[in-house]
Amino acid sequence: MTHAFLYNSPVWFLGYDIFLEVVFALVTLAVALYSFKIYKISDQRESRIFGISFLSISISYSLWAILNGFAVSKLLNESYCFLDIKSATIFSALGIYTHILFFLIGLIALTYMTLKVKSSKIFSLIFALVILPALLIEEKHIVLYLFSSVLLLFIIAGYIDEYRSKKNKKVLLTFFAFVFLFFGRFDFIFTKHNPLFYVAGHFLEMIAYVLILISLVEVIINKPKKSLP
Amino acid sequence: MEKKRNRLEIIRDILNVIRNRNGKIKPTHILYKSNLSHQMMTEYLDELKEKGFITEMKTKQGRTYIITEKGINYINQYSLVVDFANSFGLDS
Repeated sequence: MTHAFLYNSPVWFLGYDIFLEVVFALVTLAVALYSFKIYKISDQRESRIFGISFLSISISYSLWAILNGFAVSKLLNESYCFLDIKSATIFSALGIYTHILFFLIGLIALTYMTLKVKSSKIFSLIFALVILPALLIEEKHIVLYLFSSVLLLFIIAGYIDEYRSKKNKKVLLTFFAFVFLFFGRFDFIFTKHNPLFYVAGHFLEMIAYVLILISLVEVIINKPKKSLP
Repeated sequence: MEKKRNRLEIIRDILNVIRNRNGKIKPTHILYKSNLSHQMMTEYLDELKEKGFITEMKTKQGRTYIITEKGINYINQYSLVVDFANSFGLDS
């Protein structure tokens, strides 16, 4: 049970969570790199912001996986003692905090993009309003997940607008991906009460990233057809 | 009624107009072929220069715009840019 308490994760799920986090990091990295490729071709500001936000999200999952990995390795040590448990707790907590912090930075950039404004003041305002309280408030775990849920709601609203104004059906996959991400983040808030929420959160996020990956693969498969003169 | 063109389409159309004139064109021809107001065309041309899709050459006969390699690459990869923008909801 000590393990369950430390990670907010059932013992049987240890290791699977790290695997999923690595997969999420790779999917988001692929989206970020492709977005930078599109930016290189089109010089389109939105694709740069999109790339930066997914890169930040990828870093967040990588850090989570690495620090969770350290924590698990401490606990798998056969002769583990009190010090091991203590350092495992620190690694685990650090993993969650750094993950959510980078995840939030990514979401702030995405929210800023969906607002369709060009103002560094607005970006700074959103950044300060989200990051400062998140750093100062004691119950970081819940607050950070709550903030990311709120930002995801804004992003979802942006995708609804996009669909309604342009009747763009292609965006629906990405829209549903963010809906699953929202439920996944919201779900993580309750991991303290029941470790199964931690599993459900990872599962919901897995669906979200599968949808994002499908969108990306569709773009790659529909190779560029040279436009006729 | 024709659908209103978005930014990516307008940029592609201007670049296509230049490319189809052997890569060099005078602003009056762009205005005539691209179906834009003078003010809009000037804004787009400034943007395209800033992005490195075209260069401006000043001669005694007036200004000429030349498409760059980056501009040609944009036309060739246009469908990829649009697909990505549509799939991920980037403003196009």
